[in-house]
Amino acid sequence: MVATVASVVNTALELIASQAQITALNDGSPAANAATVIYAPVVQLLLRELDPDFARFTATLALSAAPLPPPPWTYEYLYPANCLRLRQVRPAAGSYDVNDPKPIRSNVAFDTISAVATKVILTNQVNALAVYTTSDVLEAQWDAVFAEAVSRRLANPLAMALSGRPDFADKVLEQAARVASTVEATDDSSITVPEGN
Amino acid sequence: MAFPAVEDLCNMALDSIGYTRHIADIYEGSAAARVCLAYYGQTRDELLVEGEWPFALREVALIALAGQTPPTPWTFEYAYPADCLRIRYVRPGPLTGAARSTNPLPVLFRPWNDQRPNPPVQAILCDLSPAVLIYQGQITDPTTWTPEFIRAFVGSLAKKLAFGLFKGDNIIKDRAMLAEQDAQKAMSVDSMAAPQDTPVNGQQR
Repeated sequence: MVATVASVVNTALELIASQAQITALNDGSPAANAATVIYAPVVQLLLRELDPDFARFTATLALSAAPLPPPPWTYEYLYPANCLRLRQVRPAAGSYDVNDPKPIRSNVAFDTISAVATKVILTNQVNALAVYTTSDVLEAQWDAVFAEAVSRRLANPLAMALSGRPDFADKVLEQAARVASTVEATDDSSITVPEGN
Repeated sequence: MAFPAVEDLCNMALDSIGYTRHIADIYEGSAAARVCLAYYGQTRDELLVEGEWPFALREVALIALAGQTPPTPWTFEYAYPADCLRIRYVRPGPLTGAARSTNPLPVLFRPWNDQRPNPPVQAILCDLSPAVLIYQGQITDPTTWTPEFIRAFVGSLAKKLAFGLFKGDNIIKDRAMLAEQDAQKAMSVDSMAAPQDTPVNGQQR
């Protein structure tokens, strides 16, 4: 089944034995109102924490307008707006020897460009590309285990917000951690599922 | 696509330590890919330097460094080939066309870091001209590697990956040891296949 915002939140509500169900985050119900506040932060937190295969994105970096990057760096690129976590800076296709890959160092940093606070990527790689975890991925592209991990992580704050049950919230959070640990093991690039999962 | 590619070798190493994920691209940014990227070139070059791998032997006519007077007592200063990882020996030239010597003599030579140019250059000092260098080359194309070298490389890389990917894990030592044993086995097999036609007694001063 393809995940939707409503299905993910409704699974979380079932986990905390709530009778409520939502049709959308903006349907006006108390459950939807509570979920609206926490949904995006929880999803972004898990995407950043788990680096799932389906959220991997590669884009050409744009040079910042900074006149001179700080040493020892040669290039300063703008941090992509949809980047949740930088995984790797890489050279462009055809610009390197595929048989002799070399490590490329980079740093995420802060710079003030034209009086605007800006998040940047510093590196010595010319024409750099970035491989990163994107925030643009939609629920329809999630895999089932990630959707389950989001639901269980959502259940924790929802249990507090809707039922005021800290004991229940703790249990749900423990379960969420266990499910999250299986996301990586069941990712597409995994070749086996470790014993015990 | 040619087999094995860099990523295929990394995946063999990952499999041999029981890591449950593969990499598709060494620049993909996964934990495994980052550790592979850090160690890949260094591991390959270490093995090429340490072993007597016949497939990595290269032979070139040495080219004199223009404008450099060699230090005493040497007569000639040659450019150090960029892909030379280890000098095996220097023999009299020319590279082709000469008959096999019936009276081989020791040849003295010395690698040298010439600090006079800016930036400094690697050079080879010798009293022969023309001279031919036989050396272990930096063979980067895995499709030209022998099965023994691949086995040694995978074992050696796996040992490093075990430490990089299983931090604090009790099985690190076992996995690293198995990988190391595999690399040693492969190297001992290959040393028996070292070339038998050593032309001149190379001697490094």
